Amino acid sequence: MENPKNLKILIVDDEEKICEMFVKWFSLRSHKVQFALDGKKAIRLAKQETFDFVFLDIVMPGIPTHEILEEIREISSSTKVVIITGKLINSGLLNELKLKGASDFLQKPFKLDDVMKLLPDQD
Amino acid sequence: MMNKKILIVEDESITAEAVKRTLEYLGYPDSSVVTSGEAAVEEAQKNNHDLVLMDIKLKGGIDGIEAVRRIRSFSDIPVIYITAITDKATLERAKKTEPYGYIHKPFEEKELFSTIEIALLRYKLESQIRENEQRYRELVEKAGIGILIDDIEGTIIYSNEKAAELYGYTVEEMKKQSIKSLVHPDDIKMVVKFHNDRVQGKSVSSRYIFRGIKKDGFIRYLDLDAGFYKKGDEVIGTRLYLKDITERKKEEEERERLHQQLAHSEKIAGIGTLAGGIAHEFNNILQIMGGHVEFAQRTKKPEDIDEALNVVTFHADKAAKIIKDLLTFSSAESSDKKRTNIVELIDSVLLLTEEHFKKHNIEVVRKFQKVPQVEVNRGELQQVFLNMITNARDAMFSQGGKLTIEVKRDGNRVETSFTDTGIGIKKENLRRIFEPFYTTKGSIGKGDIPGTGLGLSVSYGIVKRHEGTIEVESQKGKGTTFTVTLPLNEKKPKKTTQKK
Repeated sequence: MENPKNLKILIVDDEEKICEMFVKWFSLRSHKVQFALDGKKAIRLAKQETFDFVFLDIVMPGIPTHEILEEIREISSSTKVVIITGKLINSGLLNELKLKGASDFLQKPFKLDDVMKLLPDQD
Repeated sequence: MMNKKILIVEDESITAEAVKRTLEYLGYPDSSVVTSGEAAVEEAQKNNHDLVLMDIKLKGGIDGIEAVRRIRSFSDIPVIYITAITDKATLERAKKTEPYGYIHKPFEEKELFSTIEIALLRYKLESQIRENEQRYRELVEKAGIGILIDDIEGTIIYSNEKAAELYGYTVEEMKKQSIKSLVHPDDIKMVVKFHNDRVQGKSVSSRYIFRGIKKDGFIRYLDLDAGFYKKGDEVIGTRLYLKDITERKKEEEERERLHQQLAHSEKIAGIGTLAGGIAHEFNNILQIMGGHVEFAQRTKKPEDIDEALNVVTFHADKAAKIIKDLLTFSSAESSDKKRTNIVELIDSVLLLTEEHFKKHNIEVVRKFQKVPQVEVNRGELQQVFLNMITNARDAMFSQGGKLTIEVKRDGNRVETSFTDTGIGIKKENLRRIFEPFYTTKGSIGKGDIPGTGLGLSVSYGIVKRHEGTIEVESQKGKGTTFTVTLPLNEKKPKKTTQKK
């Protein structure tokens, strides 16, 4: 079934295979997905297009994650940013990222449904 | 003999006058005369004279010998008896007063003169000896370190004030102690052994530390410097110099405790880094495998299933490799060592990496000396050299530069150094670079160049198992030198007849 509401989603992760996985997953719902392997590209893409969702890995080379987060939220305050993490994050960092506008957190490894639950009901 | 003042004690005035005149003639113009023992004592108390000429038989309550005996209680002034008495008993009495001479009447001028001169000289020399002795006594008794002398049986025969204070006894109490009562029971064996070895002429350190037991039972750590106490060539005891190092010892123990605590917390921090690194790597791998499998399960398309299987196979290998690297870092044994030409081994690694260097505008300079073969696990050492070389490449990644590889012999070791002209390592990072998963590269290190933080820690483990060392020197902005040193185990050439 073609979904009436196609979301614009950006994946930011330096692991290409993770980005690829997201692209595949969201293709099941026909969302429009782009990905960036580094912060610079992520910000460039955010400036070109307004995303509904950004999935941002907490460990990124180059620009620190919290700066990417702030930048994206500044470009578009309606964009929801989900932080992905492979490590346990301490509550201090969690609160800091929440304050900076992170709307949710995903702990790797997560399931397809965990991700889909974060998106608005589409049926 | 400038103006020596002589006191003449003589009850017969004619004789007294004659002696006085003789003295004047001999060069002692300042003599004076008293006629009784009591007067002599009184006069001596004034401390105006340098010598006393004493008649023994005197009128009045006391004779000359008694007068001198009394004078001796407050003065060491030299006394010469001039007397006609020659009986043995009197002589014995006189001897007890430690006279400087004994002249029989009648006497000759020469005899009087020489006796006086010798007495004065002897007194002068004895004063100097007394002064010296006083000085040394003062130095020893008031010394800031404890000084003891024990006899051959180990009984204390001398203690200075400090030694007594260290042990909480008075100086008098110390003298009754046996040396064993001053040593902690657990240390007696050691102290006795040191002592016996010394007695037997064995070469033994004169200094060591033992635990002393105070009068109140408390333990003090004492730094001892011991030596023989000899009379001529004969050993009659031991000299012991003691320094109380209890406070220093306590500080050392405290420092050691803090050090261990620190080492422990660094280890914990290391484990934290390790766990975090493993978590990151493995969760990524699990995510990729699980994610692709889940996708294939949804679509059920053969091409998606194929793709998922490929992804799983690839990442299972990747996970296995990480675990292998980790095990290499922690495993204790090194198997399959072969005698290897280090230069050839480095060349084999350079062959694989040369293309990178060209691409990144890096010049490789080889400074290879001829060195003996080293017994190594080739695969592992290749891994180490590859790590060194790629690290150098990464350090010069953006601006190019020069990598100098030097191989030389340093005594019983082969030294291989890798010097780059790259970005260098910050001082605060230098300390941690050999920790697993500690990196400034890749996703963990938030760097632009890929890296997992395992390379140097793995290299460290390998080199350590080869009983070698890795050292690093670096200057931020100038470059870094890693030096791998491996021992030459030439003593056991194994089956090969090869010599260095």
